[in-house]
Amino acid sequence: MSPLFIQHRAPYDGHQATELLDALLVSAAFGLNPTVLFMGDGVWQLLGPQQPDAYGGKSLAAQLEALPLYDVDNILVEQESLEVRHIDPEALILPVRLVPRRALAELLSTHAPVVRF
Amino acid sequence: MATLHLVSCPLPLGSETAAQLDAALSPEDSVLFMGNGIYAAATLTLPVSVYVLEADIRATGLQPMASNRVIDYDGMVRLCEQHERSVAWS
Repeated sequence: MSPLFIQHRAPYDGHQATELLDALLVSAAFGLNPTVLFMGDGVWQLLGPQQPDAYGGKSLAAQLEALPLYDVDNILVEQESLEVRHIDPEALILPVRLVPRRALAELLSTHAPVVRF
Repeated sequence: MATLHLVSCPLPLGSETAAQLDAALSPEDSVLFMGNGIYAAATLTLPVSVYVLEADIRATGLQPMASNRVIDYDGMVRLCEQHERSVAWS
């Protein structure tokens, strides 16, 4: 089965979002065809543009926009996470596939390993 | 094969994460409450096998529910071996 990476943290809440993105890119580089799911506060990562110069770091959104270039094509977003945050899917920085919360169990059981931290 | 959910974050009742965990469970899955997630063992009722880590029960003085199975680290390793994948809710 292919790996599933789960982004659930806001973009600049610690370094986990960047580290998980790095692991995702490595997985793609090795041809594992990973899927990435944005849920909970992770959906905030897909708002742009982001200019975090006040934080002294690089824009996570800018790195995420390059996902298709790295052959990461399975970009999923949990629908309920967008709705409760009043985010319009059209406003996201990447084309994504919306999945309903009730599809989570099936998504987990069809991927391995599942990377979330 | 089934998924082992390792819950080490607090899961307030009615929180988004608690709802996501509930939706993520398949009938054959197991949940292990540990670390800061230990208190959720007392508040959440889940339709799957629920385990609690003995070291965290001892540390917090929490009384496990009758339906929670108390396991030690060796038990945790066995659980990991018995499941196809683990998901960290941290």
